[in-house]
Amino acid sequence: MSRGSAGTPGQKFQVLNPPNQLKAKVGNGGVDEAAIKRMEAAVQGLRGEFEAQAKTESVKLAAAAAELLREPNNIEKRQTVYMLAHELRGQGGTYGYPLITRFGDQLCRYLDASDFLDAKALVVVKAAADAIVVVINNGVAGDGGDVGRQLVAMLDKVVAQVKGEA
Amino acid sequence: MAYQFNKIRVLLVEDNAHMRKLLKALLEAVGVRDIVEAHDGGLAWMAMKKEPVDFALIDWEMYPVDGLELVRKIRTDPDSPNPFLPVIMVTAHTERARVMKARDLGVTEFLAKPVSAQSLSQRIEELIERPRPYIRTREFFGPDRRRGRKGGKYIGPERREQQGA
Repeated sequence: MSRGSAGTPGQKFQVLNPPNQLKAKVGNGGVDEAAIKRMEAAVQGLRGEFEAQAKTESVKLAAAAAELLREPNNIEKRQTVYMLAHELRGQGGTYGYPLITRFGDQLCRYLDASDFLDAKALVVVKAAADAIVVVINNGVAGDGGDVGRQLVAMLDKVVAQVKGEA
Repeated sequence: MAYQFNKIRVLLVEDNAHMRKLLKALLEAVGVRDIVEAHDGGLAWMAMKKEPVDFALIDWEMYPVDGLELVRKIRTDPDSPNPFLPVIMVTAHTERARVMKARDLGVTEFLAKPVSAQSLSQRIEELIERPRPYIRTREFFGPDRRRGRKGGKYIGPERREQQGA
């Protein structure tokens, strides 16, 4: 293993260059187009499973958001809402539902921004959760066209209203 | 000829069953045949001590042992089977502060969720074709964090002299 400049008098760090064992095993040539196509087909093969699961999980998310509205200081409920939205935001875009990722991300970032949100502020969280339910239940794929624009506008309006009242 | 992924073993650590299934399907589609699965960092640690792996795909949010803790153990635990293991952290956390924290624990590459065929294959190619040297100071061990270079000159914070080997 090469140790770069390690060992130099006064040296305060070591630079190590371990052998590239991964390259030695896989060789050259890159990930070819055929492999990319197989990967895309694999994603498509799981799309139905994702849709079914997202329908269930989004309903859980909306219910959890409603509970959090009733108990804004309940840390456990807040964490439940966060994790449900976090998983959905992490998967929606993979299967052609970028609006699920967008609204889930908006929800998570909203919760990340403050530990102290009252019921009035948490209306945004509930609205984002409801928007995700609409997206998955109505198969609003891609940018969602008119429905997608309406959902984005609705959520922006709720955020603006809450900010205005803050 | 394309990469021979049938010659490597990959560690896949993800607690969400569907996400794990997706990542496994993507790895198999690209040609990986030997995939060791675990649904949290603790089980992954035990698995990788039993069977050496060539790189790891690790989710961030897991319970009870999360992805960050697993990366910290891989890099710094005296019992680590391979402190130089290439690690791709898969996460929906893309906020700068969180990414910096994971990088400071020794993550090699980030794969932002939602994942795609293109994004995963690009990260794997990065591991293979552009491995970074490892840096050891008193407070850090992991892949070189100096990626912010313009015209070959590093423009980020100078930490090595302060952190000392």
